[in-house]
Amino acid sequence: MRKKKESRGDKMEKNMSMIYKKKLTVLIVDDDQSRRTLHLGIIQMAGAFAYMARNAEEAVNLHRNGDSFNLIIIDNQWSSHMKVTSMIVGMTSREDENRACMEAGVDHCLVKPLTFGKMASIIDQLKCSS
Amino acid sequence: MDTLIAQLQRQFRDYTISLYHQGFLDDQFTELKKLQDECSPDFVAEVVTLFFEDCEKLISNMARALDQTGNVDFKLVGSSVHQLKGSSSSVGAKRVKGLCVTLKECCDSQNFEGCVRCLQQVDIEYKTLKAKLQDLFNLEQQIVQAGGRIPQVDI
Repeated sequence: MRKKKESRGDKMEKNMSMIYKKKLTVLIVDDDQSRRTLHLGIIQMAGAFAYMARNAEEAVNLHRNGDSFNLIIIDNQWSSHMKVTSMIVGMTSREDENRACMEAGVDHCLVKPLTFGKMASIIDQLKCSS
Repeated sequence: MDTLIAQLQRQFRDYTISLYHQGFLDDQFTELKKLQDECSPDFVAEVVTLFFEDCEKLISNMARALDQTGNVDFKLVGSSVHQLKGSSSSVGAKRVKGLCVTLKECCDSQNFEGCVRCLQQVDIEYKTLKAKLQDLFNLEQQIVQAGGRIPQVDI
């Protein structure tokens, strides 16, 4: 009997169970409103719950008010004094910015735009690391 | 010196602003609040309660339709999401409305997986909004019970 390749439906179900059991929450940090809204939609479609902040300061305030995140997606504001325990993904405009981004201390770099496919691969990594 | 009332009012203001910033509410909710006065002091609470009942009913209809494997009635799902989009729009439930737009697109293209994913998200979002609005109403009550007035919040 041939081994069945994991379908998108199966993958989706596994991601869904991670969300319901562990309530995967993602923080978007971006000073541009329309980009925040776009990323919100993508994260929702990937099955996670999204919070938004305009900058690192707002992000810290959210955390102080009781919210916590499994994943932070930060755009253009990554800097070397970030200290977080959540996984951080930095968004860059071009491939050649990735090294500077990684040196700032992010866990992963993605070249913009964020897509559902890219989100799915990150969620997979989160699953493996937890 | 920070009185209890002042503290509560500040909490109320901050919480309200965060609900708008996190995209849970939009201008339409602001309009709803303007319709509330001494003659109808529970107007907003009543309207959103009806909305959440609507959510439960419509989501359940759509889930049932999507459960008919091999025989999904996408038209039924489409008309339910159309209704939900309308009612979420009229109460200012911005995130729910946004997801309804996406769900409608999945429906129109008969994208089964997309519909399922989206619907699960609609469920999470309306329940989250419900909990957050409950927190907000509780804050209002606390302010009134402490003898204060509910502040006008400009977004």
